[in-house]
Amino acid sequence: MKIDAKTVSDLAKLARLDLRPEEAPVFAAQLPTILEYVGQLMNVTTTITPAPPLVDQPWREDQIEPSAAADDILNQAPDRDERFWRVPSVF
Amino acid sequence: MELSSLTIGSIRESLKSKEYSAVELTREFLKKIATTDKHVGAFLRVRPQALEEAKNVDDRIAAGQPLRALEGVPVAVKDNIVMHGEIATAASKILENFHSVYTATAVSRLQDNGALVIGKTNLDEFAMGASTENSAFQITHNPWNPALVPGGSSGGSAAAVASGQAVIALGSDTGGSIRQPASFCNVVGMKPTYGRVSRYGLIALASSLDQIGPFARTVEDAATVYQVMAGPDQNDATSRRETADDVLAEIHQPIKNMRIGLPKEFFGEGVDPEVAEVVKAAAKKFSELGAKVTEVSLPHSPQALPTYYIVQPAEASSNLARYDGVHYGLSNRAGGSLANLYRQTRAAGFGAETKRRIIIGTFVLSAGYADAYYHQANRMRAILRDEFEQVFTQVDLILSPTSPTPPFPIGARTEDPLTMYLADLLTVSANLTGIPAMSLPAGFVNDLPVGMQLMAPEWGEAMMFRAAHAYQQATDWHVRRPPAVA
Repeated sequence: MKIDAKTVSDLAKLARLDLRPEEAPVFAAQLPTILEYVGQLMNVTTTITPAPPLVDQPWREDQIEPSAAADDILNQAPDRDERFWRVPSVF
Repeated sequence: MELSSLTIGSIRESLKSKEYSAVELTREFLKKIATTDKHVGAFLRVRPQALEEAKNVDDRIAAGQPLRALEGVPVAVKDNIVMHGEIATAASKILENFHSVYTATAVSRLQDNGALVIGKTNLDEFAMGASTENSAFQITHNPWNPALVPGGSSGGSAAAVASGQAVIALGSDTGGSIRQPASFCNVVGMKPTYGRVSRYGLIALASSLDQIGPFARTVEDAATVYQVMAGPDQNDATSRRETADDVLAEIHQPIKNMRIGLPKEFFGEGVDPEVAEVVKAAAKKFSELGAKVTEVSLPHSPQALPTYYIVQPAEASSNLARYDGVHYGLSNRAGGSLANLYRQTRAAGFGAETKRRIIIGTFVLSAGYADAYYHQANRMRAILRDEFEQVFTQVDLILSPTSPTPPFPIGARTEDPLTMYLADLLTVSANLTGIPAMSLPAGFVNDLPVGMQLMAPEWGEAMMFRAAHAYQQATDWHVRRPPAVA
């Protein structure tokens, strides 16, 4: 696929990332080379099925414990309303 | 006091014999950082509270309490590893004033054993890089030649230990970020088996690849720090229940008849011939020590780097989605809507490499491309795992260069990202397959350090440390010090 400034811009939108005007063309120039390099994997044919990730934790009872961190966390909020984080409107 | 020669053991002896106190020692290290770091740039932040913590160590010793494993030892911690109530930036503007609400398990374990955190070290932003040049805040210089990079992403930690600003340090390794700077700075750096050391408190880059590990000037010190940190943690669901062998008990055992394999793919294309020669000479030394050295082959290993640069950006794009200007950190609200909050915060807060990897990751996970890239990469990981497992039925350890080249100049690889990615050529396999790996000093090329990499099967840290320790007893590369700074 052709990776141009528009593709890069679209991908950035998907990632909720604005690019500065000078960044999109630079990335558009660099990305095709990188993607071509990693794309060499496509030349390997295999039917192997990777094992699912191993989670090795013992089970425990679901016991509610107080969390001391709540106030510390809320104190870092860029904008808050009591115990809510406040954000600009969605629309 | 020659700070660069101190070890965990020598500090222990000196504290016992009252040659100096923990407070005096800490003061010396803080002074050293104050005078030398303008040239090295290893530290983002110093911790003067280490002096109060040192007083607690002295009080304990005065009260006759037994010395703990890391009593009074000054440690530098990479700034993507968090400490309660203190700033952790991951070298990014998006976290410039972020205060963590908890302490990483790895750090707690060090502190519970008497270690004193004297500062937080510089890194490539979010641990993405091989030179520490991607830090949003400062450049770190290689203590061996300030015009050169210290490696990355844990360049600050490596430089701090190499220049005598700390005795031990913590780094993180996702694709070589402990081992490669260790190689560039002539120190020991080690990545445990995936799941051996808790990731709780490590700011996530790629969750299936990241591990915290130690830097030290000696193998024995690295093993001691590893031993303290290793073991299951219920706060990390990916930490494994395997109890760590007592590596310190095994470390002095001889290595006669240990089988060491040199994979031909790690000595050929893309590897500097002079670097290859240094490591082949190290292989000869292992033979002299009684090991059986043979050539092996890992035929799919040339696919490891492309695999890594699909998996890691994919996982990074997911992990970095949390930096959204809502809960903590940078928050750019000028745009007036939620969508703009996300986009403008991230635009301003992330550096170029971080953005580049998020975009690559988004692409390889996107509909229509995920199977060809991301799922194919996971299939390749499984192939590589099987291949390494096969080779480990023939040999006990694998030996290779750590870095394809000696340290390179600051600015030399920043224009073309792919040239920077190639620095990870030899290290990513260990992260993709989960096996433990370490780098230790093996020689010099044009007066610049060259490290060798040892890789062991899963849970094989004890054997790895044993071989590395035997090599260090028979050589003195690791005793060489960089030219004095200031």
